[in-house]
Amino acid sequence: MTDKVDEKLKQTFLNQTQKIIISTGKFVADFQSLLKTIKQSDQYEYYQHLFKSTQVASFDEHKYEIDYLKKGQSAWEKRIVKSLNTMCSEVNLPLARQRNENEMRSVRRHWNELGHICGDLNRFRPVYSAKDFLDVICVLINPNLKIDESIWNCGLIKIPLVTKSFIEIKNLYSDLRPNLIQYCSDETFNEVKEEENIKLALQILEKKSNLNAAREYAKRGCPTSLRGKLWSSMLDVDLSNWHVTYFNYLKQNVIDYDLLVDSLYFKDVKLTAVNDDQLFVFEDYLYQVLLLFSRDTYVQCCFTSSASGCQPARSFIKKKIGAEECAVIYPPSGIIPFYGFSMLVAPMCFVFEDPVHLYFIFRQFYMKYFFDLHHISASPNAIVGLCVLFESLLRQISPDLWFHLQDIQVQPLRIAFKWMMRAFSGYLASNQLLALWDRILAYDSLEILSLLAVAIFVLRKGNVLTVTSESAVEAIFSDISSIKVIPLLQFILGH
Amino acid sequence: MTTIISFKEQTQLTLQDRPNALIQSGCKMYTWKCSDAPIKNFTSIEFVNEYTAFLSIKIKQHADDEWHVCLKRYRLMESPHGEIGSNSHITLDQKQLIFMPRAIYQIRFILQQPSSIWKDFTIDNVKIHNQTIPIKDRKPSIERLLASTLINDDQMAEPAFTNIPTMNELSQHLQAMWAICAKMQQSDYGPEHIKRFDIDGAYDLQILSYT
Repeated sequence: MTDKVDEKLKQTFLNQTQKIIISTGKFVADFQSLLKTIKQSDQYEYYQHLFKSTQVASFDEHKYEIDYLKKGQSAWEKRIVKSLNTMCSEVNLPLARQRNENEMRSVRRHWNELGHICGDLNRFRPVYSAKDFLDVICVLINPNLKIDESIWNCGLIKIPLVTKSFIEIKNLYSDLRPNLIQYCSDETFNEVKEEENIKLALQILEKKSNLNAAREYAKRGCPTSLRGKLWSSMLDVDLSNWHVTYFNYLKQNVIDYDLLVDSLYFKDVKLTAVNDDQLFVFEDYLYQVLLLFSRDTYVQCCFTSSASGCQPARSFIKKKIGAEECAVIYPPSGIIPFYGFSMLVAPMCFVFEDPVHLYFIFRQFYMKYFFDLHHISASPNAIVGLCVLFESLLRQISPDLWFHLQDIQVQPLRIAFKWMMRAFSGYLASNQLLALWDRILAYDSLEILSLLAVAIFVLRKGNVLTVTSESAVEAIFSDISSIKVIPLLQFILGH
Repeated sequence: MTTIISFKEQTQLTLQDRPNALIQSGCKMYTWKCSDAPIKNFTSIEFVNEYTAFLSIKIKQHADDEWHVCLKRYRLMESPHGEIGSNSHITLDQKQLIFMPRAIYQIRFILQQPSSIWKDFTIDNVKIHNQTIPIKDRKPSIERLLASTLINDDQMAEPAFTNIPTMNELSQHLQAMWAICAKMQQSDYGPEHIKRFDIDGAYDLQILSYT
C-alpha cells in the first residue's frame, strides 16, 4: 500500500522535474547542473519534505539505530584499524601495492595452487578472535539504563534487547517439531518416500524464482543431491555469463594487486581449514574465494544497508591523508578477516564444485547472514541479539542449569559465543553443519544458532551439574563434533 | 516552512492530595504555545525519540478552543523494555493523526514510558512542518485548487513555447536527459553496481586512516 503511494509521489515529482527543466530552457549537460536546477525551483522544499515524511513513515529503517551501539561499533572498528596498522609497520609491508610483471605471471601460473604465492606467514597473526569481540560486546552498557544488580547481574550481555520468547521460537520453528519427519536426519527413512521428496524438489526448482516454495521445502531439509540448486534458489543466485565475467574481473584484480589482508587470509586458512581432516582438501578453493572476496567492492553494500553505523576502513592513495578525492576503502570489500573467517566458506565447498558458483553463493550468504555475526547492531539477527536470545532461552528452558552455572560463576555465553560467531562451522561434522545451514536459509533467520547452542547445553546438563570448576565445564563442551543437529533441535523444541 | 519547538517547561505530575510529593509516574507532559500566528496548513511533525514508549498529542486550534486528541498512544518502541525504536527519528504526517487540525495554536505532547528500567525518557528536536501558500492565492477553496493547477501549467507553458529552440538543439537536450536518466537508473537500481576500488589505476596504500 505504502509502496503504491510512494510510486505515485515519485511519478508526480518526476513530472514536475521535467516541467522545471524544460521551463528553464537551459542545456542540461551533466547531473550536477541538473540537480542545481531542481534545487533552485520553488517546489523543491515541498517535495523534499514529502519524500522525507513518506520514507520515514515506514520507520523500520531507523529503529535499529541505537546511539551507544553505534559508538561501540565505531570504537571497535578503530581498534581493528589500529591493530592492522601496527601489524603493517611490524612486518614492514605496504597495505596494498601493484604487482610487477614477474609476480603477475607467477600468480597467473599458480592460480589453482595459490598457496605457492603466500610467502612467509610467521610474522602474521589474526587481527581479532571471537574472544576479543565478545569482550567488546560485554562492556557495552546503555547510559540510560538503571543498572539494578539483582536483575542484571545474571548474564554477560547488558544490552536491554527484547528477543523472542521460547513460545515464539517454538512457533517459528514449528516445522522442526519432533512429530514431523525431516529429510536428512532420519536414518530409517524409506526409499520410496525419499524419491518422492526429490521429485517434489525438482518440481519446485523447475519453476524459476520461486523463493518461498524453495524455503518452505527446505524447512524440512535439503536432499544432498539438490542442496546446491535449492541454496541457489533461496539465495537468488542464478548463474549466468555475467557471473563468469565478473569472476574473471575479480581474478584480474588479484593478479594486479598484492594486499596485506591476503596474508591474513592465507594464515587463517592454514590455522583452521588445513588442520581439519575433512576440509584440508579444499585449501586452494578457499584461497581463490577469499582473495576474490577481499577485492569485491559489491560487498560494501552491507555497510550502507546495515543501518547500524558500521564503516569500512579507509585509506588514502598517494599518501594524501585527508584528501577526500584520494580516499579509498581498504580492503576493497571493506571486510577485515578475523580468526576463523575461512571456516565460513569451507563447508560450502562440499556443496559447490564450480569455483564461480561457490564464490557467488558465499558472497550472497555472507552479505545476507554472516556479516551480522561480527558487527554490533540492535537487529535481532545480529550477534548481540543472538547472544541475548541465547541467555534468555537457556534461562527459560533450563533454570536449574542456569543457576548452577551462576553459582559456580561460569558464563555459558563465553563457551557458546565462538560457536555462534562462526555459525558452528568447524565445530560440527560437515553433514550436520550443512543441515543446520539449510535451516538458516529456509527460515531466513540466524536465531536457530542460539537455539542450537542452548540445546547443546541442555543435552549435556547432567554432566555440567556434577562439576564446579570453569575448566571442567569448558572440557565438557570442548568437543561437540558428535552432535546430531536435527534430532537435538527436535528434542529442544519438544520441551 | 518549519517551526522548531522548544519546550519551556515540563508540567509536573503530582498526587492530588499530596501536591509536593513527586512520583515516578512514567508519564511526562510538554506544552507549547505559538508565539504569534497559529501554524496553518500543517503537514507533519518530526522528532527524535529518546526512550519514549508511547506518544499522545493534543491540540488547541485557537485560543478559546478546548483540547482535541489528535494522536493517541502511538507506539514508538517495539517493547518498552527493549532498545528497538528507542533512538528513532520519526516523522508523523497528517494521515497518521486522528483528525486534520486547521491550525495549531497550542500543542501538548504526552509521553509515556511504563518500563522502569530507564533513567529518563524524552523527545528531542521537535519540529512542525507546514506548507506555506502565498497570500495572493487566497480564494475560495475549489476555485483555488483549480486555479493552482492552471497557473502551474501556464507558468510551465509560457517559457517553453515562446522560445522554442531549434530542432537540433532540442533533440540534443532530450538526448542528454535520456543519458542522465539511463545513468541514474544504472547507478541506483542496477542489479549489481560495480565500483572500481582504485583511483585512476592506483591502489598503493601505506596506512589506514583513523577517521
